Amino acid sequence: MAKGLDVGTMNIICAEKGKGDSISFAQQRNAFLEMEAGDLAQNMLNSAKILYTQKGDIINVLGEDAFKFSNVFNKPIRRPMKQGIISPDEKESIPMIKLIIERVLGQPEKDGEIAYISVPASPVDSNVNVLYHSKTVEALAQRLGYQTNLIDEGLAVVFSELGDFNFTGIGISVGAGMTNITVAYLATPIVSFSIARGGDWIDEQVSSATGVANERITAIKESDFSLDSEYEIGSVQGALALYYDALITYLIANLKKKLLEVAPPDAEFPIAIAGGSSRAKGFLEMFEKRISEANLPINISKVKKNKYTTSDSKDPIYSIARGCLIASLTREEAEVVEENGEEKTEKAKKAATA
Amino acid sequence: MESKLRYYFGSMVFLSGLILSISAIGFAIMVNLKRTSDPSEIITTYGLLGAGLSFILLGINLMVSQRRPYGLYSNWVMIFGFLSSIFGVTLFASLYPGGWAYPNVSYVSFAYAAGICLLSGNAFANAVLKLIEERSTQLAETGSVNQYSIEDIEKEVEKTLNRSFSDATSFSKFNLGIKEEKSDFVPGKTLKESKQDRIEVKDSIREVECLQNTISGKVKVDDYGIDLTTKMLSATMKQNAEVQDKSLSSKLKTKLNSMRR
Repeated sequence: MAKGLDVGTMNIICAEKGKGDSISFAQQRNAFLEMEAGDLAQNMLNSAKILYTQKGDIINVLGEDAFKFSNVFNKPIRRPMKQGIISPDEKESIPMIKLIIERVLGQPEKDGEIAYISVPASPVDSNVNVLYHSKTVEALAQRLGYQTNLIDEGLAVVFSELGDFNFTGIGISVGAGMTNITVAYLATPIVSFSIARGGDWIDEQVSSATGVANERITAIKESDFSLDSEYEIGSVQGALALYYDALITYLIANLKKKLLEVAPPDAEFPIAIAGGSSRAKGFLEMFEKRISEANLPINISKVKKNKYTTSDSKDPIYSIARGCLIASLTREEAEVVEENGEEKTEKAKKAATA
Repeated sequence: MESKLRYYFGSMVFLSGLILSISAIGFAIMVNLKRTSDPSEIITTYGLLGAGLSFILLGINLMVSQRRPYGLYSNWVMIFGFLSSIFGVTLFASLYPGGWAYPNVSYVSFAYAAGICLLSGNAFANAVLKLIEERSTQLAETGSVNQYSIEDIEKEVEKTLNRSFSDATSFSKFNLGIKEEKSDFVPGKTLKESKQDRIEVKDSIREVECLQNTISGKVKVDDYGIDLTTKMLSATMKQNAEVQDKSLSSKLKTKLNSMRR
């Protein structure tokens, strides 16, 4: 069974076909928290069914629980990825990502099972090279026995959200570390790039502007913030709205710049937005407003809305993994058709010789 | 064969026109032609020169002229042009010097000029047509579409589209080989024993079929470029089918004949 894997700065999500007409998502936060080891701590973690690893006298709590413990113990969480790629500042990044990938992806049902893995496109505003990250993540999945393929995050969004438009349009993934953009025409990317700004950049800017801790900003952003509302001057929410607007404006400016470098076909291009940082209420409305003012060199037909509900597969956070799964299943079907065709030809040849 | 004969005939006419013109110039030098020269010397010189130029242009026309359908009017234009210019020369020879006054001079000039213009214009148009035809013949020869079957063309299109799909998503062919190292991390009880939580959501993923159709080129788009390419491809396939049909019918005929014998 083919699988799709989204390796994001904040979440690692695996999508696979469920029973009947359904998709099964496995999700883990791409984060860990270091704690001191001890019998009491270990017993507590075991009884609470918390994921952790032990190395000497250090315990690393993995995933979502790392965030909870971070608030309880007031300790900063550690992130294996930074700005969309494996963090060079974090010495435990690769073992931690490996553990999380093994956990969410699981073992393949058969050897050579197809898995599409999302990777960021090269950023236009940073010297960061994505190749090392891409190949490392691919190797981690390959050692589990998967036949891996890499796919741009933006293209995965196009596959997931723009099927009704023949996979023509703009796929934008606003993640925590990066924002990935792909302009595709009939499932073929015309422009693909990323910008080294995302949800984390907003948090950092708001934190340095207001003096509130980064983790607190993230919590406010995820629970008590809407871009539609009006906030007092000096409030965290006001600063968040300001930096969201700055991110959208920056994204559109870079998209316009990139589109001017190519000659896109004369077609209608809808926009699909995905990624955890696009979950903020009013994000799409603000984006729609800014894009209508931008005067892009292509025809934007609409901004496709993803109504967020936790039980909906169209949750923007699952879009990328879903797009990867679509690519995997398509490749798997193509291979089956190819194999059947070859078998038929061989049979015909044998019959002819007989 | 017919065109080759026409070409050689044209080159001979061109050569005779050249000889006539050179003889006219030679004659003029020999007799030291002046305004006050004997009228017979003037008639001979200009008659030869005028006829020579007409023959040169007729020769060029014969060499570059096209076959039907382009050549249908071209031949008439060529004949009319040549006759008109020769008529002009003849008229000049008959009228000079006694009747060489207005309006006869205008008639002669008009007849000769019209003939020369028609011949040179026709030669130019034919040369352009020939260039275009040669280019298209070259393309048809280098295209060598006839050696592929319809199935081959369809497969090639699908393969190209599939390649573009995989090229767009490939980054580097290099694979990092990771050694099976012994990890220092001891997984906790839950990590070892519990299963990963999963969220199951209803989704038919019909995009898989759509994507398969898109990458195999089975999708309708309102794009002039794609429509044009499709039409060209369809025309090539049709042409190919006709060739195959012909070869099939010729095979049948041969078989039938051999059976009759």
